[in-house]
Amino acid sequence: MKVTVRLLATYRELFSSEINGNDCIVEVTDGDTFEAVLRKLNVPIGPASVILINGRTSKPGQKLEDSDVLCAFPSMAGG
Amino acid sequence: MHSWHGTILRVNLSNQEIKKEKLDPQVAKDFIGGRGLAIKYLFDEVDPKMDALSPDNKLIFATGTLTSTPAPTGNRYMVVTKSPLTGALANSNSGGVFPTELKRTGYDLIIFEGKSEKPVYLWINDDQVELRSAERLWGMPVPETTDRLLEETEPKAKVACIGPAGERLVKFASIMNDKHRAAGRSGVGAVMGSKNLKAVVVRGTKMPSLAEPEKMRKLCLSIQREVGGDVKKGSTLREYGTAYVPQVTNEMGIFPTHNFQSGQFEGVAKIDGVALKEKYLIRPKACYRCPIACGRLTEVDDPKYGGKGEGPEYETISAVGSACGIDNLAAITKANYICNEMGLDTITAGMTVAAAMEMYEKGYIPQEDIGYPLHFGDPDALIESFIKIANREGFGDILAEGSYRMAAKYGHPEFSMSAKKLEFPGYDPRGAKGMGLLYATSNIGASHMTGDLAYAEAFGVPEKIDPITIENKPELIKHWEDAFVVIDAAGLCVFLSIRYMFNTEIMIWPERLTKIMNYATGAGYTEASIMEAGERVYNLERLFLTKAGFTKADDTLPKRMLEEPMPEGPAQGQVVELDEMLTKFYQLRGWDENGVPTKEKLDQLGLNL
Repeated sequence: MKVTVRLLATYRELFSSEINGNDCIVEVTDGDTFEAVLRKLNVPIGPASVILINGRTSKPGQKLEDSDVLCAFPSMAGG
Repeated sequence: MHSWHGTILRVNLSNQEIKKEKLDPQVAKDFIGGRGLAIKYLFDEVDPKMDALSPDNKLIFATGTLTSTPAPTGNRYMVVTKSPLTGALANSNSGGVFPTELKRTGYDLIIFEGKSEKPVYLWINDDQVELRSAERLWGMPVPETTDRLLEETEPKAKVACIGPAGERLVKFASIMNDKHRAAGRSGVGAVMGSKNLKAVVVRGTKMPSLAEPEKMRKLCLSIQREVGGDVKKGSTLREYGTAYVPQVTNEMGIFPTHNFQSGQFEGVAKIDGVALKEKYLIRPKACYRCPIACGRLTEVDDPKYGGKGEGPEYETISAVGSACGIDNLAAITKANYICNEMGLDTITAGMTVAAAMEMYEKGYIPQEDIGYPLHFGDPDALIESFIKIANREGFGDILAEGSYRMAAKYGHPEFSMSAKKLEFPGYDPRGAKGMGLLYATSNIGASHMTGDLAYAEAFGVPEKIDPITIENKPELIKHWEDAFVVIDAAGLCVFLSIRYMFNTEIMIWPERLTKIMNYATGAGYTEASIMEAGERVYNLERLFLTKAGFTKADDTLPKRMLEEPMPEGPAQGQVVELDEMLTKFYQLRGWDENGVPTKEKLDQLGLNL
């Protein structure tokens, strides 16, 4: 199945250079957690990051479903 | 006294009398400084029911306890007065370098009272204080005013002034300092204009003394290094400014779109921090002693929207951009420059035009009243509206009253996205419930600056919490509001202090901040006593509102937030369950069921009035 990984702000730089923009479609295995997918991209898991699944706050160990949008950005005061 | 200078400057504009008064050290400790000390004086000296634009109102410039000390981001001041926009309290906050220079003149507060017969400005050069004629400056925009004042005083001086909007009593006029920084909200610039006070120019050399300078220096240096290290690893705020936020709020479905009719904006990628960096950023710009540098020095090379200045930051992108359906970043930036030059709050300006756009499209405001089509997404109509507001020309004279009065004039105040007549900042509370409670209860109206739980609900600071639930939100809002008083009163920037001077629990607690305050003042605060001082100030502010005639009925949100479910996105179907949160909030605050502080609570806080 496929999910969209969306990296915002300085996490954009974690994508390889051929990806231009915030989004990348990735193939994931049924039962994969978001942590497993993000680790492969070197996204820090823990308080340093905010991780949303379909715009909602992720829960530790949450499994991904087909067409999910997995979004990560550094936790940061702002706005 | 240390850190506080112990001196108040009182400037009576009616009779031109200037007096210096001693600050009571116990009052300083109990009310901390800045926002806290200023409300103490305002509360004691004015009738909260008076007309905010009458000579009876007082305008207070208040530096914080730690302003101009080695404390990182000790660079803020606040303008405290009664707001002509809301009729409630105004405490508008700004950074840059003016506040630091103001503190070095040797005064903790400047209290302006009365009204000058003719336009004047105040020139403080250390011990020399004088009112000078500003007649030749009247009508001038902010940059020209600033340049002229520096020419006729001292090139190293710093300037805070109003533009034409403040002179014309636009109800959301700002006070601009260092040309581009704004004490923006609540119409503090209109109060300054009503007093015929064009500017305050300061040059000071009196560094605040410190109780334990060596300990202070060491602790502040270690924080500075810590922040600096984090910035080096990659700082979103340095890289993109607060303009990184649209993508985050859009992802959550709370990015104000078309006057809060939706929470997701199709054109978000055209108006975010990445686009700003690629197209218009010259360099990041920092306030005094700030290792972050979230400010944006920008230049737009465009035949129609060209210019140079600072901004836009997130709130402007939201109110002027997505809320008005505008995805043209050059036009948003130009609109921001116009606000800075004319002295307008970008949030209320944008949100007032957004409300007018919705009402125009729905047929509630006829085009003949406006004089031009006012559709969502039309940048030229937006910019024309801003110029007309600043000049109070044509329909601009109606817009200059703010969104609530404008919408009420046409019989539909429900299109004003405001609380206590202050327009919403850039978070749709249907998808960030703590922000909903904050907007409804804040002593200045819908502000994010009085307890910005979006840090936790959206940005993961100090930790990510679920924005949709109302569980624990009353507890958090009460606690965060008190903590934000402490930050404001100390003269610090919230961006850095929440993360580096508080602990990392969601119930933020002033660990290192208390040490810094004691090293600076020697006042012997405990962590608990400084939080209690925050609560004391918050309650005194609330009493000001109660005396001004505000009741529980004013602690509310527009019908759209309470009854119209969010139509799409991650917050789809949500409304703000305000009543439930409000009842709990009043209990936690020790207020009665009508939202009035009880005698027991006031006694506990030493506010026996």
